[in-house]
Amino acid sequence: MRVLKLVHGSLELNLLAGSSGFTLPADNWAPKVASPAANVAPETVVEEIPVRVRAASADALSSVMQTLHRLQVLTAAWVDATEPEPTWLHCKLDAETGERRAVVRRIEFRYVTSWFNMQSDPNLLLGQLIVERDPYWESLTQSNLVINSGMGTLGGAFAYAYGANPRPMGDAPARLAELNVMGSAEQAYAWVGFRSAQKHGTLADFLSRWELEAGGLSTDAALATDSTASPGGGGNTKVVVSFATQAGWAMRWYGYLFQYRSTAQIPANYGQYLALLRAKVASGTTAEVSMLYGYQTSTITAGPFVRISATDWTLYPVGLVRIPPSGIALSPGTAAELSWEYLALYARRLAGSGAMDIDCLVLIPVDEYAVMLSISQVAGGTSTLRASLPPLGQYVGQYFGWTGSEFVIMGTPAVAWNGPGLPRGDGYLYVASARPNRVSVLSDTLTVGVSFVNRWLSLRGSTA
Amino acid sequence: MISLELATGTNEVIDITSVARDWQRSSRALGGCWEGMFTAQGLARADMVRWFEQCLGYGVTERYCGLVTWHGYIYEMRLRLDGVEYLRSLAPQQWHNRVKVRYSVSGAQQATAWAENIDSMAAYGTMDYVLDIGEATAAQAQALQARHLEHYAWPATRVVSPIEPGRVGGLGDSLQVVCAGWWSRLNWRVYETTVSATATSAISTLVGACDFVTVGVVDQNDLAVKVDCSTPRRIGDAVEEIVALGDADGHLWNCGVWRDHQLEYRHGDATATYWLRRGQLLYAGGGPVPPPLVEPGRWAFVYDAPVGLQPSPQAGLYDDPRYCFLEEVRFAVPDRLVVVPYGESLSVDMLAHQLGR
Repeated sequence: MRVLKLVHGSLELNLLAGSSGFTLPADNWAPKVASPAANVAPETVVEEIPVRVRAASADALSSVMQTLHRLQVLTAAWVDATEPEPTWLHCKLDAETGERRAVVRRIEFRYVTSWFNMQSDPNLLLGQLIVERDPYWESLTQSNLVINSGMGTLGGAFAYAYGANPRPMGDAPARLAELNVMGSAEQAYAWVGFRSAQKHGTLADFLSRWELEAGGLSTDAALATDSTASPGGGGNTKVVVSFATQAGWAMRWYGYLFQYRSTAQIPANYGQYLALLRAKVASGTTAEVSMLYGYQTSTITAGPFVRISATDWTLYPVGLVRIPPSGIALSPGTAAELSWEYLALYARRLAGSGAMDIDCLVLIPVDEYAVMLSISQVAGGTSTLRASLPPLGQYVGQYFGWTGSEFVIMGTPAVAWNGPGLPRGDGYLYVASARPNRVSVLSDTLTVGVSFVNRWLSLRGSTA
Repeated sequence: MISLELATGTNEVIDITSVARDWQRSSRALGGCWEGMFTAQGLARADMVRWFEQCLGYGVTERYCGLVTWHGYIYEMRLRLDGVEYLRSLAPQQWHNRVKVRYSVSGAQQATAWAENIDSMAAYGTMDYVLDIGEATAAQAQALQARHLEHYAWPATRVVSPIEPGRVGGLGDSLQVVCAGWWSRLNWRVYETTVSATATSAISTLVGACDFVTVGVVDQNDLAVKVDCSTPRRIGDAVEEIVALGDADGHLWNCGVWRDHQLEYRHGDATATYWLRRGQLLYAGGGPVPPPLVEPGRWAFVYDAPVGLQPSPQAGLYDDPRYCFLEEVRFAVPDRLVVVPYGESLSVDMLAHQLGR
């Protein structure tokens, strides 16, 4: 053991240095290893560390113990992200280069009665430190994934890969230190999904935006050119649902995966996605949409009912999509298995006499790690939405608005997420965003920055 | 993995997922988001007190992958400090800021005018409360009215446990939080005029008289109904009565407040949304259903239902033993799900007052 210390801000207790008063009585202590769990974070780990405490005098021994007790009190008092730092247990094994740390939840000190301290040495204590810590060991530094500006707001993608950028390196999901989404104009909503090459293969083959003009049209639906519609195979084209012959529920649009991806590309589309529909209605008109998916038309899963009432292009979350829809893939998966995956939009008109325009479906991956931010009001101009997962595990959202002279925090957006953290290795980041009221403007662009902290289940390793 | 957030103001939302680690909630076909609760964890004593003092009425939203799956507000909190339990609640018997007293004089029905505390109404919304006291004088009724406003106009802290001074050692501090769906706000107001109209119009009229809840999607149901409000009726109770009638064809209708404080009144589904197969709830089609996304008011096709020697399945879902209507859905983190079929006992909850008093 080369490093073993408790740290809270500037207060430090080195458990290996005789000068601190603490040493290990034997050099055979090793930290425990947490077990990964599905859907929830692993349990905290309780380390039992035998210690010998010696000082030059009884008073000096008291002083040493008071340092420990101060750490105990600070650890007990640190409960949430309102304090900058928790207590950390730093650790590094012999002959390894990477020092790591874990958040400490609780510290106890227990006296151990033995032949030695029965000898009434007033300057010596034998004891055991009980340190309850988080299951993951973290890097001491965070890695910054800098992404160039100019990402699209409708399924914009960024590839990060070894060599070109830092990437999550730990054996556990990396902790999100900071996610910044800055728009060329004010953005109040952001949906960001991460997926790994390790799990999803050739990421470039995944399609994050389904242009509806490339699918099939159904009742009262027709194509129309619109410069504000997102560009697809047919240029800036949208689908206009007139409700002319049927205002009640009817299928308006459908699309099969094989219409969008080639056989070779299809396997990269396995996964679970949040579907965002870009839509609007004529003034005075209200419509309602339900998205369905399945294999062809026989096995269908319906999403929630979503009211469409905005007269500007707006991003509406219309449900989750699974590819394949059964959630169970053949092994190995085949393109044939997925090519008939089917998305459909049913709609009815609730009020008014106008049409509904639908443009595209944006699929944000949520099966590995996704973070969604939303705030009701923004300051105007450029803005930054920020999410962070502090060490203790309570997400913090911040919204920075531009006042004309400086960026200031204007509010705390809601942060929703799915998944334990950034997946290891090379990956892609997908993003969609919108202005207040989820208004989607085609010309808006984004700069997305990600910082993360690598995490490991086991202390052992050479990388930092 | 769900996330839970607390809205403390227009632009202030706090992630409370790690505070509400034992979060559980229910939703109903008739009511929508119904009840939620958790015991706050990881909060220091001072933070528990701050929550107790400030958070009553704050909005709580559950999301799954960014989709809103439950929406309500903090309805009640119980704080235990040093062995003493304190309560702050928005239950009508604990708090009301607009009061009327009905009484009779020689058998003739009389009522006071409404009396109200406008400061409280501005802070928390309007909670109507009607007392019936039988034979009395006008002075009696007014005195009772004044006393109620004096005592109950604000959701004050009340000590609700027996106090045993000196026995505080070893008693842990705790904060229990109960949330209610926005449907409960329908019962904050009463309606005093009998409504005769189609079911659709009657519901729109009644909801239109509410604060906080507005009319969202209301499908057309031409069933003629008459809701007797000659005795003041709480609006939620009156709406529930209409919805429970269904329609002229005997079909079930669903009504609830799900998101954006909007009431939705819909004809029940004509097909099964889910399959119940070997103990697993699946989407019709076979895909797994994330537990937070399961909705009440849907039908499940029960693959394994023994139909015995009964006549073969009939014309519709209603008389086919293999179909099961989901009246209530209960979810607890991380993934515990209970669905309650139509006709079975719903959970006895702390919002039982919503069912009438």
